[in-house]
Amino acid sequence: MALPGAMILFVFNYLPMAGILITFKDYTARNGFFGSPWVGFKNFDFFFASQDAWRITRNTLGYNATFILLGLVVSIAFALMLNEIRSRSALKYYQTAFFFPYFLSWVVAGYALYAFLDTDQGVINDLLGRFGIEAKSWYTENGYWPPILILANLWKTVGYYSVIYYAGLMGIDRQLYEAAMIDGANTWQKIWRISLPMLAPLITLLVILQIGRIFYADFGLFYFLPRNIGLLYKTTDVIDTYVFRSLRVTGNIGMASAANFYQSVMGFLLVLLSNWIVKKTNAENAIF
Amino acid sequence: MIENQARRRFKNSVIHLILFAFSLLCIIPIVVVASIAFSSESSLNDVGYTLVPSDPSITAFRYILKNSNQILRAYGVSLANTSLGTISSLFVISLLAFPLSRRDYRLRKPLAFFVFFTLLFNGGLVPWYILISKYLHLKDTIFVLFVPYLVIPWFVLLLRTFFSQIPMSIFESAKIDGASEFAIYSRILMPLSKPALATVGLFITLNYWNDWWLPLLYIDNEALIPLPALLSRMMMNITYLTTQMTNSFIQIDISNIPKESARMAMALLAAGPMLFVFPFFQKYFVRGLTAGSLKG
Amino acid sequence: MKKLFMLTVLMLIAVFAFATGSTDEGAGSDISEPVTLTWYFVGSYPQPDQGRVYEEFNRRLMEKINTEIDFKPIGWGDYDQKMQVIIASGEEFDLAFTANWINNYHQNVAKGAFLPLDDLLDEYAPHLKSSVPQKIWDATKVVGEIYGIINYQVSTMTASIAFPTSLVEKYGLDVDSVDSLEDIEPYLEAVKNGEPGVVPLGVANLPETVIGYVNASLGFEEIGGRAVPGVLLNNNPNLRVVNQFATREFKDWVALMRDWNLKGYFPNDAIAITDLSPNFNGGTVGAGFEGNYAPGAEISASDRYGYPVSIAPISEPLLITSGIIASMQGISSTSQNPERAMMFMELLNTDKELYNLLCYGIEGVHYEKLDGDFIQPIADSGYAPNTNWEFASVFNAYKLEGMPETVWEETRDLNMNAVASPLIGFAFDPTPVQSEIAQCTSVRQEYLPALELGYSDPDELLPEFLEKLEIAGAQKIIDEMQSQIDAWKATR
Repeated sequence: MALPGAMILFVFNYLPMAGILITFKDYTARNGFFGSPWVGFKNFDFFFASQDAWRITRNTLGYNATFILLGLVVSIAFALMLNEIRSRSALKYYQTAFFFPYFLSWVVAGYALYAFLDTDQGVINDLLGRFGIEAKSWYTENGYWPPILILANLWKTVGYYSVIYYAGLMGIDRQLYEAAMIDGANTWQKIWRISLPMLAPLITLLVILQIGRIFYADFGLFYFLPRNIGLLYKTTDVIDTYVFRSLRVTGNIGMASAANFYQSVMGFLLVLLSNWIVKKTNAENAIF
Repeated sequence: MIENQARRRFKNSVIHLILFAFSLLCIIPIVVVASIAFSSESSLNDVGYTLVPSDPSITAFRYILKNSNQILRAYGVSLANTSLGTISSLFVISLLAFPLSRRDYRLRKPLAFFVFFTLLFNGGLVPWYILISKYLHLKDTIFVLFVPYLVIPWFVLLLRTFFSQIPMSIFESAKIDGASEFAIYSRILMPLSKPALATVGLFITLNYWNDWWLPLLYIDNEALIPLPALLSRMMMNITYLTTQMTNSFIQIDISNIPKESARMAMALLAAGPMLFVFPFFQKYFVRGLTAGSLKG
Repeated sequence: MKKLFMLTVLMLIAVFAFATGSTDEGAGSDISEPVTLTWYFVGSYPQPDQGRVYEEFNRRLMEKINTEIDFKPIGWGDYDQKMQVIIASGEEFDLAFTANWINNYHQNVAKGAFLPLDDLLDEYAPHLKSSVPQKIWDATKVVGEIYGIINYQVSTMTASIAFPTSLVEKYGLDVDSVDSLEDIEPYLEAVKNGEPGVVPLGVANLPETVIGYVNASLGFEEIGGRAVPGVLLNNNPNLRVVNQFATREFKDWVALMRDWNLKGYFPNDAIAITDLSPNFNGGTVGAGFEGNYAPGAEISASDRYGYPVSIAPISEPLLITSGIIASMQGISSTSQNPERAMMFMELLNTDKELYNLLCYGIEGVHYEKLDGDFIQPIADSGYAPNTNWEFASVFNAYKLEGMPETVWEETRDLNMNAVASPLIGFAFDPTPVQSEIAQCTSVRQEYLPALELGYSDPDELLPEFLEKLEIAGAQKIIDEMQSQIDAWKATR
């Protein structure tokens, strides 16, 4: 039964994996895959030798960790809240609205944000002006951006994750709740003792998967919102944007591959670690 | 009793307040985009961005829809590939996720690892490209628009987790009754997993609809371009021309290029259909049947 | 005796064969087999009516040289990425547009993507070869061989500034006497005070930097690519490479930009703006950096913006490699029919009707023919790629109404009379310093816009920038360039 799916995975994902070796070669089309010379770790040079290596790693990990934690708390909270609502139409309205940000690409969202933060004509500075507060130059001060980016990411992903958690809540046996109510449990207890534990497998899965991608930043978010303004790189440059900018012109396949490899390996190690930790607590929830 | 009711009403109002505030936050950017799309270009230069267009006009839409033939064809392609893709993908993924969710399946752990590994590691763009265009000859066919994405490990694992919420006893009793695996799959699993399937189905649909990466790489034949890819191409043409042309020392005529309002109009046109898809899937977000109410 | 006879017969046959061959238009060209050539190029595609134009084009082409073109027009945003993947995967194709600013020519040659063309040119495209001056061909050479077919057009680089004619008349700026950037300061001041709502100098945070506009006026000839450390200063005949960001010229210019920023000549949010076309098209700028200055520039600029425009060149016309190789076609090393591809290029560069079909479309449907070589494009006709410069020599193109009659002659003169850089013929091979270039690019993107737009005090920012460049390996790049140039000089 699993055969068709497994086969497709094999063809489309495993076969091309041989290409990982490009990371260690100086690949040119003329020499082809087998003819290109081995260069060991040279392709990793541009990344690790760079003075910014620490900065982009720190930014990537810091932001992603915050995104995971905050996203988890807020999405579950929202899913639980949605669960309490009786009115079907209100439910439909909320879920549809929450999904809107997911539809917007970061390019377009970047424009929308610009409409708010523009120094001259932006909505926010306009508002501030009315209260007599001086207009701020949002696009030149590094300090504003961590909160802006965190809120932006939350905004975009909460809808997506709360729907997943909500579907998870839908799958919980109703009888459990009814039994609890007979025993006199209040809302909080219902959440703590039933909803959350029943959601545990789902939460574990999502968190581990996100940890696996913790070295990958959401490129669109970090590139289009800050409009690729150099002054802001201290707080907005992440691994993906750095690689994109450095390699866009040279198009060096080997170097791009090296950066990718680094992200994959680190993520993989972290997943192994977290999966192992989960196994110690509750073997059921582990991924493998 | 009365204070219970009061407490519940208070709780409900707080919930509604929070959710409503957030929903506004989600909707406002779309409103801004729509407002820009429906403004005249001159008002954008004078007044800037506003929530309600100060000078409403549909010139942006008129400009884009000039090539209505192309747009209609692109819509058709998108519909075809999205529906084909979603159905086949859901089918294949659920087939894969089901054994993964069963505790009595021997190959469970290795298979899970097999699926999961691909999430983190890939061989890079070029080998994948060579595989699809040279060896599988999928270039410029409608299949290339959805087949490479048929199995997305993320969704497989997600669906697996949903499936494992269903108590084993149901399957066991069905097996005792002599049902084949496939019968269990189609008669028991599918009906019970409506919310899960709807969720994953929704995500898959969005994935396919919005994708412009596959068309960029593999579609040269303009008759096969899906809508968002077409619009994204138009948008990138504009961006490139207005920002990169300085590099070339060659005069390029940009007087025909649609401006801000057209860009936003394109964004709306591309995302629009998906906004209507959501309510369709919402029908299925209902509580699954409980064990007690299940009949054989 | 018999042997001598056989030998004579053989010789006669040989002579005969060669003789027949060389009386043909294209020596040795065999067009008995129909061939389909795949051609990748870039532009605002898809154009609604392109299918029709291509069909007509192929019909005519079949008649002439039994060839059909499989057109692969790609949109601006996709071309670079797509060509990178196609070339890296070794896919078969015949022709592709290449330049120093897109589908990078030198990178591709280094990867072995293109075929050397010297022999092909001589044999199958003699007219094309001779219509372009030798020094222009020299600029395409990498290690002594030509890899790109030049689409001949204006090749010089001249920095220039454009002004709305109405404003310069109002504030009395004598455009003809403007020689350098500083000259327009009084005008900018006047515009600032007299026209609220008009930005005196339209600059923004463009992805490839403002410095691209002023390189020529600062005397910088870039060696390794846009804003990569390492330039030739003022055509220095000693061929000494310097770091342009450490020069006095750069320092002065940055200080000027800072000064002008503080005086309020720039848009308020310049560093967050990535697109100035609303301002230009709306007529709300006092001045702006224009691209290359060529005969007929004012006409096409006025056409573009929709109002009369005056342009002032602020540098001498420079003939340098990057200006010359700004538009070429390359023949892929995976091509199965390089000879036919070259024959096609010869035809496109000599057959006026065929070329203009590709540029402007079908007469009566996409444009109206006027007197002589002038035409009037029909609005919204469905085919207006506006990329004449991309296909072949523009000197064969029909002229748009309003362009001076002698525009092509003037352009040719400009090319011939310009001072040629001593570096023409040298191509830098970036392979030994790829990592350093990548790092410098990253540093440059962080600091350069702020310096160009005068956002911070250059006395603080510039030394910081230079220091980071050092750490990123700028000197290593420059040393590499110098040694490659010295080696090249020795072989001349």
